[in-house]
Amino acid sequence: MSAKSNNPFKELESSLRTVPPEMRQKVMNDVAMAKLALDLTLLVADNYPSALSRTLKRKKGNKKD
Amino acid sequence: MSDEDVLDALSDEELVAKIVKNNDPDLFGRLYDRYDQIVYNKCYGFAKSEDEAKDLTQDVFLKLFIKLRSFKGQSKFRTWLYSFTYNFCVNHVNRNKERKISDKAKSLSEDEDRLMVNVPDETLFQLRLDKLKQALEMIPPEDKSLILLKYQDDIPIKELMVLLDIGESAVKMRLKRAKNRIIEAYHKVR
Repeated sequence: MSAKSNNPFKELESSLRTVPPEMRQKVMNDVAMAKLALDLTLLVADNYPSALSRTLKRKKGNKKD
Repeated sequence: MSDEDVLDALSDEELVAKIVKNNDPDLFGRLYDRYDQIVYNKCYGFAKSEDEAKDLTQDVFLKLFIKLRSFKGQSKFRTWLYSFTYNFCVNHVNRNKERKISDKAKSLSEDEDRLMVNVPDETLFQLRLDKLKQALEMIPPEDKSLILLKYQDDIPIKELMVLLDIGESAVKMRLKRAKNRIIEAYHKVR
């Protein structure tokens, strides 16, 4: 127990550096761009298969005619 | 109870589930506020300058937002995030070719692996802080991250098995090797 209280690996973290205040805005800007990209990807991934299946169904319907 | 209080009361795991549901950037901001200092300081431990630490931190949080849904709750979120951050930092360091070449610490060959000794934890806890800092810079980043996960973040072997996706004996072998390397590097520090 006493050994643990003297754990030098813990002491490495004892003086935490302060995060630069501008960091938050930079991260949030990145995240906003990433969200846009993720939403677009989802939009394509969700809509493309259903659009394709609609097209195929329509083609099959046309053949019967 | 206000909305703010409700969000503050959420556990990390609950907050992550809410973020992932709609890729919600505002909620992600709350996760950032909980962990910015820890992630920044962990990145600092692998960076050579303040600017590099800033860039690493920014990139870790961006990747975290993109990969957040890959957190499946098999370990505590905190544990997963530490591992995620270390992995990112290790890859960053390894990409830096100059460092790879100058990394003289990767000196334990396969033969030397067989000569490894068991380093008791008590021995590690007796290391001098100033020399330990230098020794950590000399060992491969993979070893450094494993040692920090175990002895700084107190991640138990069972959770390391999940994080690293390897068996118990493999975790113990990697730890044994990392401990040997840190001791070897420590004795080289003057």
